[in-house]
Amino acid sequence: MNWHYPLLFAALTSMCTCFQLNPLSLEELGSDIGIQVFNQLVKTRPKDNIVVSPHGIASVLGMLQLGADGKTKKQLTTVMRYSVNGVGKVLRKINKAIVSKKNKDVVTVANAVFAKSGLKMEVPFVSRNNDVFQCGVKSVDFMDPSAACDTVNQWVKNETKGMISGVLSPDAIDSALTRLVLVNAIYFKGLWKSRFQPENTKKRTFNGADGKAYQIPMLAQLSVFRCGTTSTPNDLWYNIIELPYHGESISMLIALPTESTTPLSAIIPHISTKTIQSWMATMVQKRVQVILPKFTAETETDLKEPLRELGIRDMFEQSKANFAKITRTESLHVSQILQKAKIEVSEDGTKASAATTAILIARSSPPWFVADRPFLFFIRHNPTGAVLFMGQINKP
Amino acid sequence: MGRLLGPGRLFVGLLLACVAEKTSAQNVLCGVPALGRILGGTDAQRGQWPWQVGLSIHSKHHVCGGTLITPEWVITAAHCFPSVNKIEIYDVTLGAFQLKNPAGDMVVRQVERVIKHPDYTEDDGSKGDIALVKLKQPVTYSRTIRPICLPASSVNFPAGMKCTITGWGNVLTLTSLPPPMTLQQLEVPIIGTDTCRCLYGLNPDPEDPQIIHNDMLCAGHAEGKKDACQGDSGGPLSCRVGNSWLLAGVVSWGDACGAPNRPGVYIRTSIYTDWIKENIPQMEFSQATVDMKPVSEEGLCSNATAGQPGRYDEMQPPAGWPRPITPKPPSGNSATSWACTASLPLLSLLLLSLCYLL
Repeated sequence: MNWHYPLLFAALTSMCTCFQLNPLSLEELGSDIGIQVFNQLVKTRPKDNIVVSPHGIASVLGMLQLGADGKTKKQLTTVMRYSVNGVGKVLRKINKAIVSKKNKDVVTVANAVFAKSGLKMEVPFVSRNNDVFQCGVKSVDFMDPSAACDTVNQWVKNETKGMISGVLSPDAIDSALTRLVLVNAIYFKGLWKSRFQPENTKKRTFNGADGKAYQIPMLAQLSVFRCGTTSTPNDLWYNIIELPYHGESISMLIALPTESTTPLSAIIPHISTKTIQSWMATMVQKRVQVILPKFTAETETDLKEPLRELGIRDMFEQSKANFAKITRTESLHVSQILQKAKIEVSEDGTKASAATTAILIARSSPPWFVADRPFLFFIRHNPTGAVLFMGQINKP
Repeated sequence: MGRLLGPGRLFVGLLLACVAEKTSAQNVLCGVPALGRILGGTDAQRGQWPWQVGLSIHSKHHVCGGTLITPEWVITAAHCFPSVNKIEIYDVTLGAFQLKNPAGDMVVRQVERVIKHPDYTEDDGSKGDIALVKLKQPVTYSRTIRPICLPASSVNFPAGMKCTITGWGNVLTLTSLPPPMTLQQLEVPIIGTDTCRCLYGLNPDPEDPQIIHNDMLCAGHAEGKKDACQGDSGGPLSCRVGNSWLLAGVVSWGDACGAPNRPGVYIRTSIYTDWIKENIPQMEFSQATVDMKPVSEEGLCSNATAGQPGRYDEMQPPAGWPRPITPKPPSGNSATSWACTASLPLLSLLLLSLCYLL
């Protein structure tokens, strides 16, 4: 598939003029650190399926910022490029917007700080976390690892309506040393604005990054979508498409290298929220035939190492961490910082496929967008620019 | 038509051909192959549909079909040329059989000019979805490149008449024709306009009523399954009258592909003879009379057959398909046109190829 040619089929005026390269919004800044974490993760696992929530990572780090002080806090604000204290109100608004009922409850987020029981928590930390991040601060007795683990897992399961379970395993808990465990769980199943007709889903060949060909169910639709072609600074071309979800505040963006010989790892380092913003300006409405796998991707990520790589180090060190704003009774450090992200992609949508509407009856052949080989996807909250999910799919 | 190629006829043919070439009214030779998208169709044979052309952009992406009517004019659907597209990006491929396996007799031409019918509005389902494409250089007719005949305005294609659509379009909804992309052919009966309007009136989408305008012609099957599809637009609906093939329609649109009660919709070329003549003054039209009585379509469109468009994926062509596409011997149901009398064009064609060889 090649998209070097200009758009084939006339379509509505593009929205690109509304998306000039604005200075990055707060939430875009927030998502950038998550994208950098993703970058770190894929370096060691270039051929796996990986999904993270950049927005979720920004949230847990924001939660920690509220409790950190001194150099620990400085490392957080330096890497994140903003201080939660100054922008609490805005963050609160964003977090509420993302899980708003208007999105038909497609996003479920659970944030929690689990602290060793017996600590006297500072009131502002607890209340601001609740206020800004809808994050609970819980006490857990880590002396009994399996009970502590059950508590954490049960809480996550409840908060995500059963969609995410088994975040923490007992052997991750050191009964003597564990003080603070942070969990961000995020589940997403969107309803497409224009649904994929189940009868068009059929087994097609997906050429995995491992060189194997897999026969897997793929969704197919002929519709009008915003799409385009762009390149990295070193001229590796890739195609992008925006598939909007119901309500249009959330979209999936897919990036697919134009040449099947271009690995995802050659493109990923060039992607930031700024890149994504430029895609939004590049894409134009086109009649297009889209094919993509039906998939569920779920990844649990231990954020400790990637964050260390990015320069957030002190908070993990017993001797250096400064969380004076969480409690003054005992010195704390972060034992575990975990994210579990899960996304389901199916045919479901609110509106019948546009294949029955008048603009799609013509029998000329529109370009194809066929995600039948490794691709990147992003779930973006368009009003804020927050990247709720970012993932690579290398095999079914 | 291979049956006419007996050795005994060659010599006679040679003589006739040389005469024919001299008098050479281009369209005397129209509508006759040099030998004897389609959903549910079969592979065509090389040279079987020599007027079929392919339109692609950047020599890569197959967009539409088209039909050769003179050495430098192709007829296609207007929507194949949306106004945002520059004509420089288009290529016209003539004499192609397998698009991904180009043979030596294939010719590629760029587009000099596109004339879209003034009634065409760029809305899909629009009236006047017909366009004339002038090639930068004329082509030389060959065994695989021949024009079709255009019907005069008086020619009527009755309901039930079996015609053939050809193209490189999708073989199922959202499934492109697999490599080597062999030209597909499918026999479809003409459906009367009233019946067609009735069919499209069954379970209509209230937001998008689909209108069969007077310049449209329907062909296909009420039960669906066999139809043109995306990528076939602009290609021919060829109907055999007497010994020659006439371009009854140009593939235009259809609700999904092969959906029940949603036959393919074509632009009726005989409506546009005046407009074609205006733009191509030397164009001649075949005054053929189709001798066949319209077949009764009673029961074709009734609420009993109504139903939501159902599954049409995974369908298999019925047993007994493919039908022999080589024209049947002239039967009582059609009279020949003045332009394409008897087998003269056929034989001359044969000869032409011989002349080239010599």
